[in-house]
Amino acid sequence: MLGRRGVLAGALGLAALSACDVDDLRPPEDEPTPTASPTATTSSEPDSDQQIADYVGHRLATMGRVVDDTRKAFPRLRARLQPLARMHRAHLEVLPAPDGDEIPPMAPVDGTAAEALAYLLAQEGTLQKSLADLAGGVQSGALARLLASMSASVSQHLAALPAPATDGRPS
Amino acid sequence: MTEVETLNDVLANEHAALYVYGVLGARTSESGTPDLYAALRASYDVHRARRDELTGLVAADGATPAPAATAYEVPGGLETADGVTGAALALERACAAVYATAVAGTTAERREWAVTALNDAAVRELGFRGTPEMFPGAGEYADR
Repeated sequence: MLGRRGVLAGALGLAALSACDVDDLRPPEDEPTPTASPTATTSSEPDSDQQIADYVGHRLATMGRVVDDTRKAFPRLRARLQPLARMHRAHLEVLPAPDGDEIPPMAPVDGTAAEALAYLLAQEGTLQKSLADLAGGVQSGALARLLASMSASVSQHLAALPAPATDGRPS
Repeated sequence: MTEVETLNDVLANEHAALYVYGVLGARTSESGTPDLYAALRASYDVHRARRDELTGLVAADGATPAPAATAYEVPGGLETADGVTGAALALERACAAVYATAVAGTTAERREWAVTALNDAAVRELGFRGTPEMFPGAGEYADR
């Protein structure tokens, strides 16, 4: 597997990055240089492309953990949530969590499966909107495209999620 | 390429999408395959609205909106509902790729428009038997 810098460079369509310089993420000369949308991020969110890439990697890893924990806690949801788990893994392959990033322990998944699923889907919806918003705010057009595509993938997966079982058993 | 040129490229694609959807609708029986017909009709309406939005955006920039061609190449295999469904899916996937390109080539509100269009196209694919993708509109990442 490529190191994080190599992965990110590939994701952004840039030459291999060397030192940890945010300036390295500037788009190439022949690529349109977007101006950050003033409404795309809040003051508490990262404001450079490198920081945004790290932030997204952390968010993806965290969401992947939520999905995995929910699948473990509720075996009946395992198959249903498998596509989401695969999607997060695929996205993390392209935008991994930063080196040394620690995902905080998740609170135990409690309540019913339906409640856990509702919580998870709400979190996925928040992630989808966040990815779309961040796509609007990054400088690099290539990174914007990647984030927008990830956002669309989450939209697709949520729309395609199988309906709950209707066999009379509590979900 | 300037932003308005990028938008004009998307507009040209919308013209083509509308033409193809018109053909797909004409090859589909409303009574025989009502769900497919409804999905085609809904998609046609969405792309027509996007065409109108883009025409306005391009004109507002002082550029000339790309005109529609007289005719476009239409995929084969439209003799069956499966063939029409497959053609519609391929069309939406192609549109998603165009919107993704537009995301990269625009900024601010125009980029937000493209991000929304990409999300919509990705979900619309499901109505034509599409399955969720890891990177709609940017499939090269899935092959890494």
